[in-house]
Amino acid sequence: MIDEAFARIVAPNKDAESIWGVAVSKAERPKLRIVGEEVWRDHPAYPAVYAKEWRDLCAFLRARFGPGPPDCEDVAQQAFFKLGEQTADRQLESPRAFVFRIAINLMHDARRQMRRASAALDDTTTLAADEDPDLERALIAKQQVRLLQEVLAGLPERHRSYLTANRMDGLSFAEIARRHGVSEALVRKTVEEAAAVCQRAIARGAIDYRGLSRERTRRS
Amino acid sequence: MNAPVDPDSAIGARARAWALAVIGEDFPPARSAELETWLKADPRHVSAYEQAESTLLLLDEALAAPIAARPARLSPRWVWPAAAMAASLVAAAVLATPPAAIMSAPGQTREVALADGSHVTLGPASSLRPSWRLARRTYVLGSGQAFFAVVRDEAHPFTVTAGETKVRVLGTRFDVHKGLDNRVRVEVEQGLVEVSRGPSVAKVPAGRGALADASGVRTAALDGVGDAGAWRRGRLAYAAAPLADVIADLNRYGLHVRVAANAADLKVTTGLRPDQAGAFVAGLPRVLPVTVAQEPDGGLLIRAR
Repeated sequence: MIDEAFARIVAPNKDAESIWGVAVSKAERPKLRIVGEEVWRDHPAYPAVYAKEWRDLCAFLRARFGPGPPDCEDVAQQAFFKLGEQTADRQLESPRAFVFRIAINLMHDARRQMRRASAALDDTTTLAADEDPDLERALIAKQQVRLLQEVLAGLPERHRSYLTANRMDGLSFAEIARRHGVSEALVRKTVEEAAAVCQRAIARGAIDYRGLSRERTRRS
Repeated sequence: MNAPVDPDSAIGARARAWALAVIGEDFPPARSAELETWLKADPRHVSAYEQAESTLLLLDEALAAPIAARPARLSPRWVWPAAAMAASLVAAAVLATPPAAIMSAPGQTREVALADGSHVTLGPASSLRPSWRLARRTYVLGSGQAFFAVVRDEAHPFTVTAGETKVRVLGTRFDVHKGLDNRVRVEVEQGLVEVSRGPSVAKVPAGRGALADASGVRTAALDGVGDAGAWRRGRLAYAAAPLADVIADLNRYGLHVRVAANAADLKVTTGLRPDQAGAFVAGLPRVLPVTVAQEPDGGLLIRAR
């Protein structure tokens, strides 16, 4: 009886009935045309829902990458579309950090493709000499990611947790400071120190923990 | 490509601060304009910024690696000699440390005994980890849903943080569900819990629930929606819930469905078992003004008609 009560949907449609086991026939299920860019154009709601993030992201992309191509608004659109995909199956602590990160990645991908295309036009020998730039890049990146994991393993707890909160959870320095009851300046300094160790490792291929202030890393 | 810039130089440090500020701080268009001015002032600035940015992108990947690869918690006293020692020693310490987070796969629930004797039932595709202060009674619900049976300890309140919402108890049985847009739902089966988000605080007794979102915390009776943590007995119940929330839950049971923005806020009242989820989605067009279409990746897309 309870099951019957549960198995009802009360929705705008008045003549709601039990829907279990009702399958949609193939004919009613139009094949969706997904051509990368078509889809996100159907999401005009994003700029409205995330007005501030939208404005900030477009301004940032223009400042960082210039007017394009690719067009900053197109890239922002795609980033917000990916946000829509994400929230369907994963909870994001900070949608803002997510779209920024995705947009920066998309921008790099697009520019890399354009560079390659123009290199192919300019000089066919360049491509021949460097047969699979994607594969090579992926291998180098994999190595670098491993190196960074080693770096992370050796970081003091405080550096690692602030860095994780900032980069993974997308929390602002101010929010991390609030949650830990410390000053925003301390969080900023700690994250910058940790990032410096990572950057040094990438630039020189060696781990070098200089510059981490000890008193800041001591647990309170 | 421009020549590399020493990350420890003044320009290197400035570039790093800029690259971090983009996500770490408020970044309104005025700051973007300042960034642009700085980048245009010197080609080395661009080069240094690109270096910092690419390290951060790699770092994001490194951090996203499985929890088991996460490092040991070393005391600072230990870190310094360790840094000087061979990396293999650090790696050994890493392997000796148990994983920090409790996770469940899509479609599966997990029963876990916590360090303080409390007990948690983790919903599907959910993750729970001790807070970073590593106290035994403070946890962070990263995603999904969990039902807690907490051992009473008046000296040490048990807290669960989900996004910006905090749930605090002495000893009780309650359910925490982290939904879309950082909306958190708390249902109390026994005892009294305190739910807070920012300045908004509510005490929630047994038989009632609380919903915390950007506008604060509201409480309501659980009547008609099913009792606290009914999902543990294979029963999902919703009263006028946004479609996107319902689908987000069902996806945690192994479905692969997206909801277009124009259908996300349609209201749904229903009760179902997870094994009925597929039929539920297929039947949606009969009760809501939506279409359900197959996508090339095998998933489904629900959008408003």
